Amino acid sequence: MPGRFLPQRDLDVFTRVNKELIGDIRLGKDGIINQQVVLYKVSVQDTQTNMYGEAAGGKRWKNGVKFACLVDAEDFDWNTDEFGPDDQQNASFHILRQSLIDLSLVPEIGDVFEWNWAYFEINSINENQLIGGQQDNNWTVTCGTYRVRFSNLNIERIRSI
Amino acid sequence: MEAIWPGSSSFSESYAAGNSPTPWGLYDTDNEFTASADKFANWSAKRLGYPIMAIELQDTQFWTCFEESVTEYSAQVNQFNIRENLLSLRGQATGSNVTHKRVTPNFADAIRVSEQYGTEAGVGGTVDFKSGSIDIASGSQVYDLNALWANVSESGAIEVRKVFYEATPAIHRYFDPYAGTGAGSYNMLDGFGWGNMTPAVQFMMMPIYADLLRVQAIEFNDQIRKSAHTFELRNNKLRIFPNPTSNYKLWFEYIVKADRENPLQVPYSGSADVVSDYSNVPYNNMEYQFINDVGKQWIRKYGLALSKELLGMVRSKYGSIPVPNAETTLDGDTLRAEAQTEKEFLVTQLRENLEASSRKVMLEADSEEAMRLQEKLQKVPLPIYIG
Repeated sequence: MPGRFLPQRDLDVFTRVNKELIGDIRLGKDGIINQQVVLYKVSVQDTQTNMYGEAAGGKRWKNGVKFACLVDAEDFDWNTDEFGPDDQQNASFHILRQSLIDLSLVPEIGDVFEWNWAYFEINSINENQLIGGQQDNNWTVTCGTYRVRFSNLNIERIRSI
Repeated sequence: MEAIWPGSSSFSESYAAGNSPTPWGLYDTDNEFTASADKFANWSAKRLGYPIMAIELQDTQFWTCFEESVTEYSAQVNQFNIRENLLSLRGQATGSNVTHKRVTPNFADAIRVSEQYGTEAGVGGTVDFKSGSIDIASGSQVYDLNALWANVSESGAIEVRKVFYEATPAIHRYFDPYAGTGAGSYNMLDGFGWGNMTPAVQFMMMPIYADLLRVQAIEFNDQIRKSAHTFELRNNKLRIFPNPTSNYKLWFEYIVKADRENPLQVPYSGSADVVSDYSNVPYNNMEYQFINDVGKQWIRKYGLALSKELLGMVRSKYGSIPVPNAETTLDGDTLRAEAQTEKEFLVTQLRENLEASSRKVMLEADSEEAMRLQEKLQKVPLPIYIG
């Protein structure tokens, strides 16, 4: 909500600068940073569950939605055990909240981001960047993720054991 | 309207819609200005990064910068013109617009100053000389002109410039036998060529200096041997010599001091509202259409600097802009600093150019050129004729 020292016009400027910086694929505008991701949401209707409510046969996904955001990825964490080498990676996806409103898109825990030829499952969501400390000016949705194996998803057909 | 430059503008449509495209509207009816305004906005936006970068300025802001730039150019050039021509323009009617006009140098102001010397010397000037008179009474030597004249006939102090109280000119007594050194009647008859009509007593041809010496001798005689015919004037108290022996009227000339000290004295009643100083010299804003391309290029560059400064102000309203999970800083401060430097450079450059074209500098350059040319020609070998 605009206030005396943070009028709507200035909020609009912030939004426009953010979209210029990050990109706005919905309007076909590349951003200066232009990190693009695809978000896949779980299709609850299409996912079959067993008697325990588990998706034993794997999740089913809605069509991915492509948009731009800021990605903060940690280094790869290589772990070698008796099964051989394995790598893991955590990443945070910082999304301009207005972009999600424009797309009518709500990320939720369990949804998957596709970025950098890999998939990252959301395990936490943080919305704590409030412009001017006002709850109506909630600026960012930050999704904490970890990388998941292709074989755990049914998004791409892969050869796997 | 979105708060960024959309990529094009239409000054004429805005003007037709009655939107007052520029704040002052100084050049809104100048066809060349209106035709250039959209081009300027387009050019400036591109010079600031459009279309790669979004420019947080609207068309009216570009036009405002353009208008201010033309006005600044006018002000700079006219400031120089005023300095250059004030001597010739002071005293001229303020209604005469001299913008874009060539001013012919004249002596008006110099003569106006020198008129004050004329007043003091009693030859010309702008102060009226008046006549007054007092009645001289036999036996009274001292007369207070303040009491007798200033308080009665004037409302302020007077300064007596001339007292018509003189001895009879010596030439009138040239033939006075009682003057002591005058010529006798015989001399007079001879002097007028009547000697032949009378017995030839004397005949003498005298040069003119002899007459002058004789006149001087009469005056010396009056001053030394007789009571001098003169007066003293102190604080307008007139003391006359010798003590008068008859009643008569004595005339004098004077000025009213207030007339001389009036700082607003004018030659005639119609010349009161004239150019007095820097502030009312009739140089107005120039018409854009009459500015040459050199000036127009300066205007464009200065307008761009103004646009850059304005963009910098917009972008530096907030020290930082929030972006997802972070903050970013825009280039507002950089733009403002660059714009300030560019503005100073342009103004300095223009002033230097104007100073270099001042009458004084051009005359000096002309003189030096003539001197160098003579020096050069002196080195040309002279032809040798062998006859």
